[in-house]
Amino acid sequence: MGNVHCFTSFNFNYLAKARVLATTLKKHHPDWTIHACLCDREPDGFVFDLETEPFDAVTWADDLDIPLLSGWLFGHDVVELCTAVKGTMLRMLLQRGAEKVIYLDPDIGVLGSLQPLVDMLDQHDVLLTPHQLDPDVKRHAIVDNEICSLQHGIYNLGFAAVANRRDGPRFADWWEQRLLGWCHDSVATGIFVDQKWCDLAPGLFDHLHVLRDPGYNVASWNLSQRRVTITPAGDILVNGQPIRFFHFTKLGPVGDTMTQKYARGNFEVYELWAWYRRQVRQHEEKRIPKAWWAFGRYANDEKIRREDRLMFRSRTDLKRSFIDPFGHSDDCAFFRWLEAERQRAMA
Amino acid sequence: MNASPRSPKTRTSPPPDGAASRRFGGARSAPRADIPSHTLGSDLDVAPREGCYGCLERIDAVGMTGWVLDATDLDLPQPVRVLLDGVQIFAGQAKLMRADVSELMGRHARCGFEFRWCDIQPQSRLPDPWERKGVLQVLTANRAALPIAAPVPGAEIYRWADFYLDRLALVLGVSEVVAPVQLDDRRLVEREFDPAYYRAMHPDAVGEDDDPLEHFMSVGWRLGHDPHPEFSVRYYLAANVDVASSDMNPYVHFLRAGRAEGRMGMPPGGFRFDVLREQRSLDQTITLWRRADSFRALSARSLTSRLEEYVADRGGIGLVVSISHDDYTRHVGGIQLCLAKEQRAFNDQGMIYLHLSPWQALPVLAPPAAAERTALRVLCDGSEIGYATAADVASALGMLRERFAAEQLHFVVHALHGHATEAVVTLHRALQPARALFWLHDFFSLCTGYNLLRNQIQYCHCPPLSSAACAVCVFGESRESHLERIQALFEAIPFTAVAPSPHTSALWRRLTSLPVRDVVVHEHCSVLEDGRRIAPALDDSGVADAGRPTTPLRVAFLGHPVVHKGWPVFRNLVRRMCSDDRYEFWHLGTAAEDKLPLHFREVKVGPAEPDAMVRALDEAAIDVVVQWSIWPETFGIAARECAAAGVYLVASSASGAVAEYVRDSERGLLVDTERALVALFEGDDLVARAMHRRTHGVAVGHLLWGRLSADLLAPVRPASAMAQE
Repeated sequence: MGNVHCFTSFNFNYLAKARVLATTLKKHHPDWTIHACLCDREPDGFVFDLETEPFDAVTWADDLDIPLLSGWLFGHDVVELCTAVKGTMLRMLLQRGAEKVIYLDPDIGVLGSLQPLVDMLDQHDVLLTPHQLDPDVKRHAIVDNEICSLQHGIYNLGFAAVANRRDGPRFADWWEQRLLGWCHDSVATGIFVDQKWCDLAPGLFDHLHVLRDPGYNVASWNLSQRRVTITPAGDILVNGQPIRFFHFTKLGPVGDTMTQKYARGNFEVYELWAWYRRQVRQHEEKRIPKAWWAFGRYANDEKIRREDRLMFRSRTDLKRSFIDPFGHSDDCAFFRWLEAERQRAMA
Repeated sequence: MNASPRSPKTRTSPPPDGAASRRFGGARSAPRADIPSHTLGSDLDVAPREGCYGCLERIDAVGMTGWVLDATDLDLPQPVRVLLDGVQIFAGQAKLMRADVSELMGRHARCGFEFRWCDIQPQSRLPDPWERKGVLQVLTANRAALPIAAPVPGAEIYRWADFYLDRLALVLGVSEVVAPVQLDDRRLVEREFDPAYYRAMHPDAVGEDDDPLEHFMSVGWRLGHDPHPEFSVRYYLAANVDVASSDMNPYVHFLRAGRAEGRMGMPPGGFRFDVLREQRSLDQTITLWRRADSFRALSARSLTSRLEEYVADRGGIGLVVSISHDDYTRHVGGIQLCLAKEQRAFNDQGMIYLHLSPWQALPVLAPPAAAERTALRVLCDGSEIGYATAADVASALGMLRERFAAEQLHFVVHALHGHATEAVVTLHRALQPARALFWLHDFFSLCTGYNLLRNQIQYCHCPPLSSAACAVCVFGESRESHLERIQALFEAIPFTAVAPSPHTSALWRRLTSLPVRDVVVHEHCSVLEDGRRIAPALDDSGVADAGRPTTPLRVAFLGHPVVHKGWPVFRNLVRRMCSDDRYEFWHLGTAAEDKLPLHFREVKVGPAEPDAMVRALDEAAIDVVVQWSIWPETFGIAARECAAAGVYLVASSASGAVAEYVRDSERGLLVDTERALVALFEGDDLVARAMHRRTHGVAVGHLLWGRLSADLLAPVRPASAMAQE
């Protein structure tokens, strides 16, 4: 296995978006190998078929080489899990011999060639993009963007690129280890899933490069300082540089509000969003039930509550006692134990 | 702004140095000669009246100083407002003691003013960086502009203004523009509420004696009535779910907190934002257009016999086959009118005019798979023959052609929407005409988006198919196969392309390399001037021979209220200016739209009344028409209608053939941006020009319609006919 491998991580709720990512990526890089890391299981009546999907390979969460996998999966909500697997997936791809690995979030749309990234990986081992490249000046922008980055992480981990030499594997190993133990949405304790960890990365790895090209990772959190233009020749530019990819975070009212707040009269940004909405609609999968997530329920179909996950992941005794906390169809031991505990507390 | 003709007001030569030289007004008006025009404010600024003196002396990193006085009343402090690109940044009165002016005037003159950047108005919302022009205006009483003695580049001015506005916001915290807490909701709203606007927009809801503010605060906001031209209740509630769910007056929320939090009162991308939000994919549009009914097609035999019967009855000397997107006898529009004219002209020449339009109207070409089975509506000289498949029409044409001399057969394509190009080639092959014309009424030969509007909102310059712009355009996906089929069409048929304007000819040649025999220019109509008209006095106005100088300027939009013709821009103009009693707004067209404070008059231009719009313009005594087409129009009938009626046309400088006509004919004014259009109406120049036209009269005339293809495909007269002559 060699050359360029690109992966994204998602559950089936994000399938349409992930398909848009893979399709737009394939358009510019038909020779890259695109992996889906699926943090989910297929619902009844649907088969994820690589023959018809724009992906070249799939790795299921169930196939990750993580000790005590079932309990580890259980300890994460959907956002945590989809981000936690990134370290392991990256390490696995590098171990299998990938020369260069690029991670992209499933809600990204590729709008230009990413070849410059591949070239940069000849010099640098790790590439990261900061949320912001230019200081904000407006108060509300400082709050929405810079203070938010201070809380959630300086670098947006919707993108990372790693070369398989020197610091590349070291970064993957370090990141995976942290994510195995602490890929949690816990801003108050200084942790925000996989992202906040990478604030440390430039200090830890010599050959890490902070990519400061405004054409990459354009998103609502940096639109206050980026202007999208479309030239008569049909090029899409961001602050004068060719656009590479746009991060369509939060498709819906919240994303719209933040986009409008910062794009303001830059209507080309709304054109990109309109295009993205059309693409997502076109790639929608009707066979996936609404709000489907296989790891969101016990085997008896009861919904898993967040506090149950938090308790489980914080207690070594529970992890030892319940090897598969999801249970299986004829016995959900952890669920039974929880119910008994609750009743005891009420009594 | 691109003025055509050039704004009549220019500033006069510099005065000598010294305090007295700072006087201005009347014939002595003059700042220094070396001031770059961009710091002088716009052409629209009004010179102060006689007796008013002053200037802005200094602008620097600290602030600005100047003086202004009214010589007729030295004790009356003059108001001063400073605007940066139309946004007020300072306001105050000139009442500082000025020793130098006092000496000059021979008494104490409290007429100086000083503004420091650190005192910049907190509510000043400067334009986004890409919209900045750096026009500084210092206005005193009656919107009169003071000259600026020491100009500074606009970028510098913005640097200082931004510097202090940003710091001001940080110091103030979230309540940077929030009202003091002791202000109750009503008083808070009252500070920015626009009662005249509210009354103008909702005349039914607010009677003469009603209080518009009271109406807004009690029920108006719940009805979606806007308190101000720059705040949309509906948009704010849609964009801010938290406010919508709180059952709070959205304007109160905006003033108390929303504005400070960076929330917007209007859709930030203007009408483009609205279009994109409502936009369907091309496939969805096609599905919507699909007819649910069916048609009864004539058999090949009965079609042929009907056509042969018609030709035998009629006995024409030749046959013209014409193709367009709809039945010109049933639909109203410029192209349809032209086709009716063309048909009549050919008939006058003794030619039979056979017209084909698709049964299923489409915004795209008909699919190639069933090209031969495309259902066509067949008209002969405007009379219905029936519906038939393209293949059957082709075989009928093959028979008919035998009845005429080969040089009397012609083929004209006006529009291809809904047609299969493959079927068009078959029809052409069956007819074997002497000549084939392809009219460039639009740019469908270059893209599925016939008016070259990327995502239906912005002129795209027709970039290469592989461009990123095409990839994100609603027409992008369909364009590749569209162009392949158009290319095959032009390779199969030796077209002469006909452009209705020199602009269109030049643009089309530049944007495509489609093979054609030639590109010729032929206009649909022209204006024959045949008199001058002094504006007629209206019922309630003064003296007839002085025109009607006191009545408001009548400003109209013509035709269908659609985006590409600039309806949203006009609507925005009406919203902003409706409380300005210098204007009265009109819409002359086919579909009344929106609850806008304007007069609607239905006008249908058709073969029976081709000059209906000219007459309507005259009867409604319209002074100015705003046509803000956002695509490169290929011709512009409305522009000619305005010229014939003696109406002043304000158009976008990017409106293609319309702009070309305005520029060449000098019958109007070209404006570059929507912002500049609003500024034009806010200023006094437009009114001054229109009043001048009213009192001095304007050239009027009538439309001289061309005969389109009939002018280009003159029949070859039989030798016998020539001998008789």
